[in-house]
Amino acid sequence: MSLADRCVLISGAGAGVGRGMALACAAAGAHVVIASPGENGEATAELIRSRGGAATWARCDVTDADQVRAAVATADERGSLAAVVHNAMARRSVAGPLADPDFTVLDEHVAVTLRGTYHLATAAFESLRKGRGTLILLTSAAGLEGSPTGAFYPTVKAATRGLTKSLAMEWGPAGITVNCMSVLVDSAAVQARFAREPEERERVGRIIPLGYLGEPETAVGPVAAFLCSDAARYMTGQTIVVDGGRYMGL
Amino acid sequence: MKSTVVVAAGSDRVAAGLCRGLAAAGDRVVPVPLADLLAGDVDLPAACRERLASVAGPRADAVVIALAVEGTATPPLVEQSSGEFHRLVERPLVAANALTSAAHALLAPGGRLVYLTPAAGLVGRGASVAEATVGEGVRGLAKSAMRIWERDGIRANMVAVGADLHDDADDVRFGTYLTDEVVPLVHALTADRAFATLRGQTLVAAGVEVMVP
Repeated sequence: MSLADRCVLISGAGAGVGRGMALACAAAGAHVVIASPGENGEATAELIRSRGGAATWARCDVTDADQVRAAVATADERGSLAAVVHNAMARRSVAGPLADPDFTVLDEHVAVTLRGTYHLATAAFESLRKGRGTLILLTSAAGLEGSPTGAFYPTVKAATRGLTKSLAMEWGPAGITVNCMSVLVDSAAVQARFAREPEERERVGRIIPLGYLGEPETAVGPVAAFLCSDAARYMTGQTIVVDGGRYMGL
Repeated sequence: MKSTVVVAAGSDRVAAGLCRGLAAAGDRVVPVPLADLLAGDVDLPAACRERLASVAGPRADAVVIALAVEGTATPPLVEQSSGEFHRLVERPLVAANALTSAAHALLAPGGRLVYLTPAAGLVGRGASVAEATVGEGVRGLAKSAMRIWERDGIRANMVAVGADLHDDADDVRFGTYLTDEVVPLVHALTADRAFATLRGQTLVAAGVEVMVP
């Protein structure tokens, strides 16, 4: 599996899952464009370069169409665009009780997850078509089975699966594959939840059959690199669950 | 005693058909039209809550929410403007969340929430990105509402419907499908005691089009 001479654009790759994917794709030979709104995007790019890989940081808020177009243009300059991975997610997750929630939190989730997908898909379509590339979106167990702690995040993550399936049909004739990944690994978001809800740490450890939370770079990264490669060309419209066996309902 | 069922739908045609069918099945039906709210640029959470409160009265036995099942023809995603994407995907999802939140005040323990969602979301359908996106988003919402409000005795379930409810389906097929296949399931989920054991489930009323693994 090689991504040599290919370019992979990953949103939200300044930290966590996105950074793990970026490191793995770079290790497979890709030039990785770190599309991230914060300076940690450059830190990820520098880490990749320090390991002998190739990476460029493009400051990019996925809710801004112009910034997304600029990030895709940056990727086009670096090589054939093999893949766009939309990993970015809204920062706020706590919206209060479902009967009276803070709807600005939903606005943020919709903007980053769904409008961000729209911006990336429309900006990258021609490049992906030329390179017979792939679009990879991120869903979660909450999108598959709902959540007992809130409805906004599950709404957009479930919506992502519907979008994946229909866009895979729409883009199939153009030679572009579309898949989504449901991941559960050790990340800042997970750690923040553990800090907020300490009982979650024990619960998560209990419900993962493999018994541990994987690291983004080693647990999820290689799967993302595989999906970005030609080895996965015959897969489209699928949800790939990478969570230590946490969810087996598909 | 008749059950009071609130029907909130984005399509006037679907709303009218559901209301007729549920009334014929013996329910007292309260329609809550939403098409104007979805088409405009009003603040949806406030507008949905206000409309539900003003139309539905203080209590209901069940609330039916039907969004994005009318399958309005849409251009491919890359040909959609950001405004179209906002109207077709973002606003229905916000409306579904707003209606769900507002429904809680109407429902006593034992109350039912029933969502109609497009079967296209389950298996994908070409040229239906918006419909499938909203459909699956609503299913994620419904499952979460079920988990969160189980302690309140509320039951939330879904009926996945096929393309015979689409705007371009002929009246005869639309009416037959709605009456024979959709309404009985919706009525059962809103009123049948046996169906109270279902929690966060999707009943598929789409013929052999969809058989989920």
